[in-house]
Amino acid sequence: MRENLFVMEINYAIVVLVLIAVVALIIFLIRRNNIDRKKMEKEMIDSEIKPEKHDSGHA
Amino acid sequence: MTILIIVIGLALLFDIINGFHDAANSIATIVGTRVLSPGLAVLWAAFFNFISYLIFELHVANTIAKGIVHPEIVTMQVLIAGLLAAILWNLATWFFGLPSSSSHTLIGGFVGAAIAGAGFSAVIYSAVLKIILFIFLAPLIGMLVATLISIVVMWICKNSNRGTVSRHFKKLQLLSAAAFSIGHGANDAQKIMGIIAVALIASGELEQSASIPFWVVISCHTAMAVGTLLGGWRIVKTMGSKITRLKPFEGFSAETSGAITLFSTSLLGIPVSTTHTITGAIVGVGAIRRISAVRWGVTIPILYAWILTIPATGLLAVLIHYILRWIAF
Repeated sequence: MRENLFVMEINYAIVVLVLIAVVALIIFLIRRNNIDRKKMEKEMIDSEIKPEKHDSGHA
Repeated sequence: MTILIIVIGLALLFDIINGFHDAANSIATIVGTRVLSPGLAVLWAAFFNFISYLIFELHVANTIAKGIVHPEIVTMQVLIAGLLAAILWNLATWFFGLPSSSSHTLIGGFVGAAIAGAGFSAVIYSAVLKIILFIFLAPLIGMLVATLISIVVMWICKNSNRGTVSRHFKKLQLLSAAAFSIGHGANDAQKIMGIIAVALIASGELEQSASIPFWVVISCHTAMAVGTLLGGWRIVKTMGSKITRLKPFEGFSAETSGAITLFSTSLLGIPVSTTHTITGAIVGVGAIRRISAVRWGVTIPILYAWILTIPATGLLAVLIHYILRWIAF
């Protein structure tokens, strides 16, 4: 391993393995982040909607 | 060569996560004041993050590359350990919605791994002390400048109609957010350029006295812009509405103050935290309204995260360095 990593040739198996891990992490982040974004947008909309005014019940 | 490719890959991954984690710094105020929708806000910030390479010279990149750790002791193992520690800490703070500093994460990881690899003499302590000093100075400068801008704005607009003021400052906030994004891109993308430059020097691909290649500059800014486009919404929420509720003129004051601080430190080559700067500025504009307008309870865990970032990433990097040495190298 030690020799393989430091020579000038590229060990494609290791590079591909790292690449898969990186892509998997990015996909995970995008998915979690989309959930957070929807939650945040919903909260923003909710905070803008003001409660309706009701009559106090007097005739 | 394989290790060099992995280091560059990890560095760019950190850059994406940095953009993602710190997108909040650029967009929290414009999203919080409803100037732009979240989608448009990240697009706006990412664009100005990317073009910042046209404006600033690479002073911060050179500080990171040659000014924190003696470049001759840096090995690929040190860089991988530092980057992995920084990535892990950034992901942890993102998970808890804490706006901690990506710059300090990177510096802590780098310093910790260098100490594990070559002992305490590997570190240039004067530079690290300057960075530690700015952990406290950056939010204070941000807060002070934001307070001054707020006072000036309030004085100028004291007789104006509130709705008109709000409308004007919503437009001005687009400019201040753009300026802050340029400062963010210039300061943060350059830190990773410095790390890649060190990797190239350590592998013999770049002369120590040579300038940073253009492909490094462009790939770092692209990665940062991609990360910003993703937008770390947990942190946006903390900064845009949890610390204090912002009005457009306050958002403008906070961003302008952040941009001024970042521009000055970028020109001086001081790797200051964009997060600390804008958080300090947001607290400043909130506090000038009234002290109780700031939710101080939210700021306490943020402060803890700021203090812990460098030692925690340093220790994490030491641990990863030993694991790497034990496993593969």
